[in-house]
Amino acid sequence: MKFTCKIKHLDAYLLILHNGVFDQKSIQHFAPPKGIKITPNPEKTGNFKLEVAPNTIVEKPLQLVNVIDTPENLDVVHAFEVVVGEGSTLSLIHCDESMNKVKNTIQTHVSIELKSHSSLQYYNLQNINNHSTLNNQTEVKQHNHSRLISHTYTLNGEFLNKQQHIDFTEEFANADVQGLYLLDKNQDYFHRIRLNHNQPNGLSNQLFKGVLDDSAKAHFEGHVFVAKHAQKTEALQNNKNLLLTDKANVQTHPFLEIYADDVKCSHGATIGQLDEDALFYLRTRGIPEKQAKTLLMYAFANDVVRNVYLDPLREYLENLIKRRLNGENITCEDCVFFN
Amino acid sequence: MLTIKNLHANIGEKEILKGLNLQVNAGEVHAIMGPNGTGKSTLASVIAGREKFTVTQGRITFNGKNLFDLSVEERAAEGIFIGFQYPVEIPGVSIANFMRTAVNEQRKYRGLDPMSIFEFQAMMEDKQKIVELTDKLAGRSVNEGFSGGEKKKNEIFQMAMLEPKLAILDETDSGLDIDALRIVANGVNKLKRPDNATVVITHYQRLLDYIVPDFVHIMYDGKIVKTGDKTLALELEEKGYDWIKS
Repeated sequence: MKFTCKIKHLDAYLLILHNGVFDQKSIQHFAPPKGIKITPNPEKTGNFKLEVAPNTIVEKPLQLVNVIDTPENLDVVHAFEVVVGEGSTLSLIHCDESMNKVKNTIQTHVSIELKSHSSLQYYNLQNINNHSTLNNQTEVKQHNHSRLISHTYTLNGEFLNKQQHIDFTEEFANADVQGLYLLDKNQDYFHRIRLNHNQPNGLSNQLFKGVLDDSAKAHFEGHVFVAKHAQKTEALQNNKNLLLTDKANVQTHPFLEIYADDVKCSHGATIGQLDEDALFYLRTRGIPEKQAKTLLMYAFANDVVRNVYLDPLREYLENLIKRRLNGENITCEDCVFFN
Repeated sequence: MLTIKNLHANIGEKEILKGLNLQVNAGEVHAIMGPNGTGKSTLASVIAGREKFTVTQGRITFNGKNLFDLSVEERAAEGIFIGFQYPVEIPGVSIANFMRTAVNEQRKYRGLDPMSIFEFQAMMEDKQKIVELTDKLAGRSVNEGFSGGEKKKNEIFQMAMLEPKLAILDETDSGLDIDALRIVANGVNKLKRPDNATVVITHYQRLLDYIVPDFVHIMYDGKIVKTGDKTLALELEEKGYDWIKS
């Protein structure tokens, strides 16, 4: 079995699920680093739990790839649990990969617990064909002084449904939740996020940006809840969208529900078009209209991508996004799975 | 180089340029002066190719080519540069990336190979000295958070990078303190060559203490109403614009 991923110089521990199933094959080819334990869920075949022992710094990122490679239409459900122990650090790249040509429905359910003083970088990527549906559901529970960095990138697929639920169950939790969706043709994107500041001194930042071409649709719902005793909460939320045609459609619903009085909260939502003055300015320097548009769209998207901490992943995404904005149908064509 | 004959241009239904004539030859510096609202900036916009203005009559030729056959970017690649009165802020696009794209696109238009990164970097360093901009410039977003003076210096820096045949500088002196004005004007003077030409559009005589024009044109109500040498600017300064209106 051989797997190659196009991300250059990404030195990662690789864990492969086959059609959503964690099985003997996955275990055979995975050499878990010290401090990481994986146990299959005895109640549900194919599901598993990944635990990082307390006070462990996992040096290399862990890349989890769910490969769908059956010739028939498939409903794939996969679920896993991640527990990052007290004082530990993990980077997790989660890719759903279905570059076969058939219509799949992929459902993922990820449940994350961050113990006190732990930190997790979670990158949710996908590489699915444009007939497929992807439902990603993520639930996060954060203990005191834990830190979450979450990035969600959507470049392909037909129906995309992302749900994120984050609970601050103790004080001084910190979550930075970002995402980028680049959609065209008839792609349909839905993102719902619920972030609960249940305890004081929490800090959260949300930044989601979208570029929509053709008849693409996006729906964004961001709900921030601040409980009555969750004083000194700081919660920021931003959703910005760029519409390239009259037929593209965005609905954005920022929603703050605040019961505490000593908080700093803000939200912003914008839906706009490319800045005509900026476009003209670029063209007067000799940059053709198409390139000028790409330059402006890339600048818009890069606001999110530049915050990816893993250099090889960031460079790869930058390239992928440039190509996507040039109208290419993006697939990670080297992401191949051999038996 | 640039010939404008009987140019009429509208914005919406309103006529702004009402039969303007202008001839600019290689090696010359022209100043266009005039009160607010007489169409000076409109002239720059029409030459640049801004779509919101409609040309209803007249023609512009640039080195023998009909300007109206060329797109905005083609005019630039043919060698026309516009220095803007209000340069646009473009967050997220670095000056280095912007200029490298512009330089290489113009080279492509002229059938030249793209410039290597090393050549380009050397050129950036060299040209930013002309307007006394620091070497931190490359990584900054275009005009974002720039002071008024920096924005205008950045315009002249871009002009230095693109080496146009004809530069039209629209109110480049507005909003500048005396030091910035001197730096901007020196930049323009350093870029002067026998094979290029500059048109400065200005409201005040002040700029012309630094950039000495061969011709001064006075524009009023959409037309050039008077042309002379640099003494005309002094005369105008002394008598005021009412002298033209009467």
